[in-house]
Amino acid sequence: MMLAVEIQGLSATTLTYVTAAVAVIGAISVYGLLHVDRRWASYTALLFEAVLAALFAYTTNIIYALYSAPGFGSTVEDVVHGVTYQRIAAGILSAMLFLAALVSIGYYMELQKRGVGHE
Amino acid sequence: MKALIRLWELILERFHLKEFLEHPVPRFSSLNPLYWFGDVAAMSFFILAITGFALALLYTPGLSLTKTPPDPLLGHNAKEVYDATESYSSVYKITYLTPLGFILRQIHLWSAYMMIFATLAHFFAKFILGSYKRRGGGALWLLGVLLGVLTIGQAVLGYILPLHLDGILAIQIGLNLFRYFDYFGIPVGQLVLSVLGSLFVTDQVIKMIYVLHILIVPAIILVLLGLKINGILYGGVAPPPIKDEELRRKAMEEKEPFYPHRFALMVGQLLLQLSVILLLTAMTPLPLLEPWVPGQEVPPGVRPPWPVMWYYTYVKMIDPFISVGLPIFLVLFAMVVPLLDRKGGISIEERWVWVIIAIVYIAIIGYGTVLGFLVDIPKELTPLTRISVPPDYAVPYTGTPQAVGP
Amino acid sequence: MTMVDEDRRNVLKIFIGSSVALSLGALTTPLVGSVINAKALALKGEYSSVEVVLCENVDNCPEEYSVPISELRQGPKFVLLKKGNMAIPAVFGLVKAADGKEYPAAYNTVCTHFGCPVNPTGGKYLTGFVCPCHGSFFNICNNPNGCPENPDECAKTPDKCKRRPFLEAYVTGGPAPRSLRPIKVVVKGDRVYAVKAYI
Ligand code: FES
Repeated sequence: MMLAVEIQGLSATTLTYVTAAVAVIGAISVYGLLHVDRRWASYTALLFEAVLAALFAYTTNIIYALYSAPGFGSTVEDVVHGVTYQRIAAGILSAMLFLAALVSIGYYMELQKRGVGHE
Repeated sequence: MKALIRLWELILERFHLKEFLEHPVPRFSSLNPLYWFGDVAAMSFFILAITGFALALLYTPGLSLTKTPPDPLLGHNAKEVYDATESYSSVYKITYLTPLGFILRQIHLWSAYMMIFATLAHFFAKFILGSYKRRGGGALWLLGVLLGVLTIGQAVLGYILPLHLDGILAIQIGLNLFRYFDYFGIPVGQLVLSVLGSLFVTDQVIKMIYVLHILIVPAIILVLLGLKINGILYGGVAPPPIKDEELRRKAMEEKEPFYPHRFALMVGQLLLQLSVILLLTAMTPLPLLEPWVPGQEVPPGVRPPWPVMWYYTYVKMIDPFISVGLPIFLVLFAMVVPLLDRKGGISIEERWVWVIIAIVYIAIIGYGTVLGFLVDIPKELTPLTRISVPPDYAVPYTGTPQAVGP
Repeated sequence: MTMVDEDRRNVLKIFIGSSVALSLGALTTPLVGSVINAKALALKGEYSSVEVVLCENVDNCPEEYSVPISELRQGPKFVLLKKGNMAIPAVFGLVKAADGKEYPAAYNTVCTHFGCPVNPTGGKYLTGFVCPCHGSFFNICNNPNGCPENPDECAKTPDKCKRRPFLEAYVTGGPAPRSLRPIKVVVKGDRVYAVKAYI
């Protein structure tokens, strides 16, 4: 590798696949459970959020290590790597927010079903 | 958990938030897509304000000469170093050399695009609904038109700030285009010169644009947006476009409390919006374009920011002495719409003429935008007006030219 | 009694209101005034250009407004002429005239169409400019007797046809409405000085 800075950790490709898998499984199961029971959907969402948060922390760690390494930025390849990991971090955040949005909108749907003026 | 809920209840009660939060809102407006875009635009504004604050801390405006490596997203992989302005270098630093700075800038860009798109969609939706026909709707419509103009202005100002080649061409065209604007004997070009002090980009000009972009325009937007939200809070939303009076009344009367019903929906919307923005960041990040400093050769082609592409297309195609004021007429027309469209009901069947006008209005903008991206305007375009200049204004000598012989 | 009171209160309101408005108005004057460049307002503008005097006299013209002729022999040179808050992008160059002599000249490189920076053409000598944005071509007239606007007409009646003056950078194609704005130069010693610019 021509990199001036070595990356300690999972490669970007692996990380992308892991994120995508967790996000898709999470989204499908939360969406499915919303039709059954909102409480269980929320718990599942929370679980997947925790997994994604761990992934996000892991990726951010790599990003910080990369950017604070001495000599970072001396080659374009470094910058490309930094951008790749940041894009993965954005993807993880996106999945987290999506799950939260699902739960929130699911809650609204349920309130609507329950009828007006409940609270 | 119980204690937390108790605390929350206590806060609601002691701060008298219950009265506000539980005010009833009509239900139909959360189900009809024509009522969604205003929220999206307003949320985008707040996302932009927060990311903009962080970006403003890291950005330095200026034209002084610096060096920068190439933009990796543009496919440059050279080891070369380019000349760039200080503005460009600082944006480069934010985007490529700061941890998470890339995400920050991408969120800012994508939410700006989302805000403009939502603003246009919102304008179109309210035009079709004729929402200015209700009591207080005219005032809200006026505020909306002003906000739309400011939003597009913000997009252009923000596009200029990194001072990449496209940004510099945009500011150059912005500074010089208004020379054509001389409709009523008011020399707008001269006014631009007297306020900005130059018709070529300088430190002073870029500082002015920076201040406008981060302080003045957002402040005006915030005030107008506050007025608008207040108007909607107390005046309600536009009635649904149904002809049957009875059905309409029923739809209006079916309410739900703002909290927790609508509140949950709005939180969901905000989260979904942020999620989409971040997905776009991950999938299709926007590159920082190539740098340029004064004196360098300019490669052919100019790409204005897409929110003003339609305008650019029309001034390019039609004689600029005529077309330079097109946006002013579009805005003026939008402002007087509530005065023209007064009679008749509010349903779409009764207002079909105005629905067509709304479609034409949006089509003017959409057509120009698409054309601008698709068609390369013919180079041998001769304007209707050629100014023939007396020699004094054309020749680089006051007297007879002096030869320098070898 | 109550009527009088009401009236008095209204008068008071008007007084307070108008004095607040007046003082706010007075406050904004310096704010706006300091930003507006009075000098630029006073500049006279004609033919869609504004005259900017860089130096009244060549003898005390600063070096930054000048280029050595020996440097121009290598090819056209870009100089950013700065005056106050104003910047004028200029290209200096030598024009090879039809009579074989070399004439230094300078032009404001802001395109007269929409204002993009134009690129000089001609290699070592300056022959014209081309605009990258919408392809306006500017050709520098290199005939000391002027260049015919319409060559056919000039072939028939050589003395009556319209001619463009020597060294005008006139439009030969594209959407630009007028010729490039010139920068008035004076040769002094071995340097070319820019003394007056049109923006
Ligand atoms: S700006 Fe030069 S041709 Fe349009």
